[in-house]
Amino acid sequence: MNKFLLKHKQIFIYLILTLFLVACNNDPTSVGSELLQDVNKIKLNEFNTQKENVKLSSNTFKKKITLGVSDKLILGKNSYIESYILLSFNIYLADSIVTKIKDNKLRVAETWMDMKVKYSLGDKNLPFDFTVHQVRKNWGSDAFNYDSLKILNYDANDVSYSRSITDTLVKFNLAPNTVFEWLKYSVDTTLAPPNYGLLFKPTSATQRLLGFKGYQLNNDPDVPTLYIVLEQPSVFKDTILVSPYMDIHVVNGADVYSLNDIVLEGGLGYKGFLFFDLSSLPKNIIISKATLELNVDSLKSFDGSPSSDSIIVKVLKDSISKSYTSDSSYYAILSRNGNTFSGDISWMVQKWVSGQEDNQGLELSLADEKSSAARIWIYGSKQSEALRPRLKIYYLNK
Amino acid sequence: MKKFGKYIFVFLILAKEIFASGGSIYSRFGLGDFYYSYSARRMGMGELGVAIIDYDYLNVLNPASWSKLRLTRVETGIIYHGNNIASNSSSVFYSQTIFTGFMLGFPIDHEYGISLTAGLLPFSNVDYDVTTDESNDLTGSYKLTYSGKGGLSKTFIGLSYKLPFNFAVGASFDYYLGKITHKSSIEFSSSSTYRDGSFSDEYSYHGIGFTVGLISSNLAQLMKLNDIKDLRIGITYSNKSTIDADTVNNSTTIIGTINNSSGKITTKLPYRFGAGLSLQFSDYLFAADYLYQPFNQFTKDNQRLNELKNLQKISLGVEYRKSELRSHSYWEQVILRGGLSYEKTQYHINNKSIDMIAVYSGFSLPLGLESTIDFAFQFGKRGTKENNLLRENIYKFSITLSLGEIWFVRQER
Repeated sequence: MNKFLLKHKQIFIYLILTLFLVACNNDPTSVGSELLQDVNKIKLNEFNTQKENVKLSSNTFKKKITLGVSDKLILGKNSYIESYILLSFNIYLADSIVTKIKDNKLRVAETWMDMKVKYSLGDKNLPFDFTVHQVRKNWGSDAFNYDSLKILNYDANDVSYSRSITDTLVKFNLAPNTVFEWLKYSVDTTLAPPNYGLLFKPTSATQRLLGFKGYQLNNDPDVPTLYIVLEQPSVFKDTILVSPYMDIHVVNGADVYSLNDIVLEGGLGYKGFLFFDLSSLPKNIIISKATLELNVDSLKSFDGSPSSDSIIVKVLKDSISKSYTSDSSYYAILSRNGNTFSGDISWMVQKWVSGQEDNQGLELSLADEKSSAARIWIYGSKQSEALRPRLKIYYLNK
Repeated sequence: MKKFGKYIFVFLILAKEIFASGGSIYSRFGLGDFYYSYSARRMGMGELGVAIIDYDYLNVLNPASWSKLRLTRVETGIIYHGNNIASNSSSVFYSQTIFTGFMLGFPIDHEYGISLTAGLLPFSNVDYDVTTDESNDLTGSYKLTYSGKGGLSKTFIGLSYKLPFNFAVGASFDYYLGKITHKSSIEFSSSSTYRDGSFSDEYSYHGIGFTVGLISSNLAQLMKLNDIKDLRIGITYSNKSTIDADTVNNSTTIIGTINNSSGKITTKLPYRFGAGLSLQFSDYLFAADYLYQPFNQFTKDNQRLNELKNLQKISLGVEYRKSELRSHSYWEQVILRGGLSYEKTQYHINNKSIDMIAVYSGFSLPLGLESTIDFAFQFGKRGTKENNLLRENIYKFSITLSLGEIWFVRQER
């Protein structure tokens, strides 16, 4: 035995030690919880700005928004907004057609536009009509706005006719000569004036707005489409489909006067400012849940279809300049349920209470502010306790 | 040294792989549970041994005990710790295995009893993990978890010296370091809209202290007790140490981990006094020890803890070891040990002192002429179920390698 152990002592040691690897452990249990003092226990507390008499302020402000990137084109007007559309077309023709146009063998037999309705605001029984004008000045969608529109050159005459307006489709004919000029310009820029596209203007009698799909992707079947029927009498007839390569809608509206209410509007860039003074919250807390609730004044609101049912909340770095914090690419979304918008803004409140951001308030805006013309009127800080914005915070502390 | 390296490597690897999961919530208070025995030999004799002078073991309790060290020694080991914890309503079993550190001892001058010893040893242990299931109408069900991990280690370096009349004295410089983290967390059900969170308090300790010890000469000779081969008394004293701690208070939130506060606190670790008696009778070594540490003087951030009171421990141990080893068979060289102890621990909770009584046994198997592998087992009962407290059945199993070699010998040409 002696010799065996001495000879194999290493194996002996390894084996014994390896046994310890199978040490068993139970899952944690509540045994011993009675010995935890209350002072060390985590507690969940509620802080409701409505009940805590928290200082609150709100207002409406306007910020420029670029509509060139909108996925909708809105046309029409109502009591507070009017919206115009600009479309531009690049027409590419087959060589055989180019030759025929150069040889003056083709004519435009008919041309029309189909515009599928993707958005509407206002009672469908209210009047809606528009005129279409040929633009005579170059424009770009990047920074085009209502001021740009005011100095835009366009023909006074309406080049559209036979307009048909239904709930799903707006269809009208365009003057064939106008389109034929575009074809000639696309074949040879010396043959016709430049093609700067079309301006759509709502008529003065119009009292509602319709929206169409804006150019986002190639070959999108829902974007407005120009149909051109080319004909060489008794020889040739073909229909060309052309989609806009550049589009924008331009919005004009009266200033909003709201005292402390928050008026969020699509198109015009009206946003809301909201500030809760949370300095009475304890230090070193963990925000488990923070729900922001806003109540809608439905009588003063105008919502479209699809509804503007989401509000984007961003953290402000400066309540005066309304500049954003560095992480404002992250935001919270409030969803609508009945006449209440609500959503979780826990991370924002956590940043404030942890001192990572100074509480300079929140910016509220419609999630579809670039693609709607809705006006959502939110009760502000001076309204009654039940109507004003409230923040329900559930926090953890020890 | 190559041989030592292999053993130490194996211990380190295994110790790294073995991890703990929970333990006694008593360790939440103060600096946690204290280690008294780092070796199976000490554990086998009741965890103490203040008056025992060893020539082939390293005894960290009393630096004076190194004065008879014969060879360069390395000691390292592991301790398996099982704990069956019972409350009035339920019970749970936790286990963990820890690396007991290592000690190195170098005899420098046998005539003057000068030996240099250094080591890194576990000093205290905090390990608890308590979870309760809760619910309310607002949030639905959720779990609260309170856990603590960590502990202090002690590194030391010291010398022994033989005084006139064969008294031995020793002293060590001790450096305490380690991290203890207490964490409280809440976890809501996966369908809940409430977010989980946790608070953690981290204490990174560092502080210095010293230990001095004295062991008498063989009093049996002085007293002319012929039947007794060796009779000694010993005392040891570790000073009241100021252990600073860098503190970090963090929260885990929806936006990540947030540092709520950082700072420094000071912990005053009370002095520790031990006295012992050892008696060699034939092949039997008997030891009796008393340890005292006034934890009512313990302060953390200048505040006394109501849950801590003075610690006292009494232990008795016996070791059977055949003398004249080389003339015996292997099994006759096996060393046997036994012991018992009674301890009024430092914990005093819910107006009740947490006491512990334990029995010990152990044995050593020779690994060559100067090395042994030591085994020890402890069974103890700590606490009570009264006053909403916990009663613990503690099982410890220790293995220590005690390796001796001749170093620093000049080869004659």
